[in-house]
Amino acid sequence: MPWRDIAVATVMLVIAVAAFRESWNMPIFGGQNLTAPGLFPMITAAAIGLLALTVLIRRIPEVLGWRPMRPEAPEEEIGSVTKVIICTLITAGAVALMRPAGFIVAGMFATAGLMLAGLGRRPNLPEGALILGVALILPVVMHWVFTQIFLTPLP
Amino acid sequence: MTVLDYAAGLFTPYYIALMAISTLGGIIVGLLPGITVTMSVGLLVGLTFGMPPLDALIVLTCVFVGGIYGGSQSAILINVPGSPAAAATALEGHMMCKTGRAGQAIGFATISSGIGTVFGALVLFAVAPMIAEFALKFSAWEYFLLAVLGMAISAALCGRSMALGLIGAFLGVMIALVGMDSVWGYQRFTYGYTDLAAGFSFIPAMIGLFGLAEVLHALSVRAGQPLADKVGRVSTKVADYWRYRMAILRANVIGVIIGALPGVGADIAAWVSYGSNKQMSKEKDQYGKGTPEGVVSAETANNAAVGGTYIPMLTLGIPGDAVTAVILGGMVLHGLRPGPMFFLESPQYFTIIPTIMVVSAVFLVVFGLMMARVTPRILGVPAWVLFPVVVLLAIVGSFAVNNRIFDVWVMFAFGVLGWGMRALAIPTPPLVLGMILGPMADAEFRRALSASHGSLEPLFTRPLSLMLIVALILTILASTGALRMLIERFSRKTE
Repeated sequence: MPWRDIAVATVMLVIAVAAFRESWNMPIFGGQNLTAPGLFPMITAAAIGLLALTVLIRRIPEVLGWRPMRPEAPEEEIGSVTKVIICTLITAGAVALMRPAGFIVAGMFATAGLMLAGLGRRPNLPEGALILGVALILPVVMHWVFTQIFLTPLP
Repeated sequence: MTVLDYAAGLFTPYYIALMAISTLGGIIVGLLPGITVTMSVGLLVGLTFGMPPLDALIVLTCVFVGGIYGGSQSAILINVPGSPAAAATALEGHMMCKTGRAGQAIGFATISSGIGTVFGALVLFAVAPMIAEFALKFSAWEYFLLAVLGMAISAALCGRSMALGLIGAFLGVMIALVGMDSVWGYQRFTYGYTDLAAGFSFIPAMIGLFGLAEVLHALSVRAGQPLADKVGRVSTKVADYWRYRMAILRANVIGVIIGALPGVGADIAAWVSYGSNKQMSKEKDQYGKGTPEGVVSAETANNAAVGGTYIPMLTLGIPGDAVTAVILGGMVLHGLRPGPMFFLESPQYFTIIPTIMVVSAVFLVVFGLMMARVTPRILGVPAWVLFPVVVLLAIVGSFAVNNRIFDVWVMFAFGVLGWGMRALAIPTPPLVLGMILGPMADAEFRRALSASHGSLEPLFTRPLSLMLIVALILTILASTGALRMLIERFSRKTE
């Protein structure tokens, strides 16, 4: 957990510095320009940076053994990261397919891919038939329902 | 029109049917692990856009009420809460299920949820108008401080570390600042992309954060199977509720108060109620062994919190939790503006919303008890079959808000962000609150500075501002343990 906190804090520090620098290029001060758009992002970025430094100051001594680590609550199981990556890629692929190929094709790709990834093994015959059936029918039905009843202009 | 006229207007066959269907829908989505109430409400905001505002509000509120309760059934049967709010219910409820009392557990959960919902609705009806009148005294400085205080409370209560919670909150503020500035029209952090000129759309972001993220998590962990194929009798005795009357009362009060705290919500309310009642119970030794009092404590509180979350949302424009944050976004889409002026502009909603909740509570009890025998079959559907449906709904729901593919990519990005935050144990409610309150804090801060010609003096000379600053300092001290140290030191000195 301390290493995770250090990683998060470091990333946030980098984001804070980048945002602060970007805000510096916006109009901030100048006579009555305390209402300028750059002021609040600059304050927010500074706050993030300071908080990230606080986390680093607390956690680095714990990792180096200079200070005892405080007991932490038990962590939640995060499951299979490989599966999450696969599902993320499938979802991203489906979203990318929406414009060129339309919602139905993208939906078929997402449904089949996610069902296979969620199953996590080669499907047997009934499971394969279920995956094929759901992947073919579900996007078509959804497209009809949302375009005809809810009047959503799906591609 | 009088208060009774506003309430009576809801008792038409159309609205009653709408409330019934929406509550039932909420129960079903609530009991399915991986489909969160926030995500369901987020999808519905986009889909109900074409409905009149009252109809949309009925759907969203009833799904909220039903969804918070629905998670208890899966918590009891498979020890996997359908919604985070039912996590405390799982402790005693699943133990009751293991000892052959699944029906009784569901009965207690159902009736308690109904009681909690009605209590929360009554408090909302009584208290919200008073708070709304008080809020009219607020100036821009107080709104700014209220926004900061809301984020601080959420960060303090929602996570293991206030620093990480506040980082999440300020990150949410930063995300909300992307786009065209509301005062100058200046493009902030858009880097020339026209899609970013309007900023990140809130509803797709919420669908991603609470929908796709949840699906990614649920697909990667092994789901349970229902422990009970059959659920026995769900009836409970009135004498049991009289026996647990003090627990019910405490749970109601805790639920409403915690629900009213910005960004906290029903799940924390359930845990605090469970913990408090466990401490104060005469049957302390029964906790952990399947005591109905534990189920009653958790379920009463989490549904009472529903009414509580609406209080700051309607009166101050500050959502009590992630679901009301999404509902707030939906109300704004329908032209309603929750906040201090809402009571003056649309007073009817301060009667209509509690009435919707009370009617929804009645349907919750009826459908909840009827569904108990069907639930094991519903929960038997494997996650890998169900979740692609959810992902497609998330894609459609995100697209439907503004008819842009860009919003679907926003949903995707926030989904990955939400899963990452969960994996790193960083709480998401502060991020949500930052996204809602950030623009408000920005606009009010600049308005306040403009009115005071750049002077910060009103911040410290206005009594209301000073009160809020003291509350902010106390929140920070309490969450860091410094307040407890100060109190202990003071006690030792006085001894």
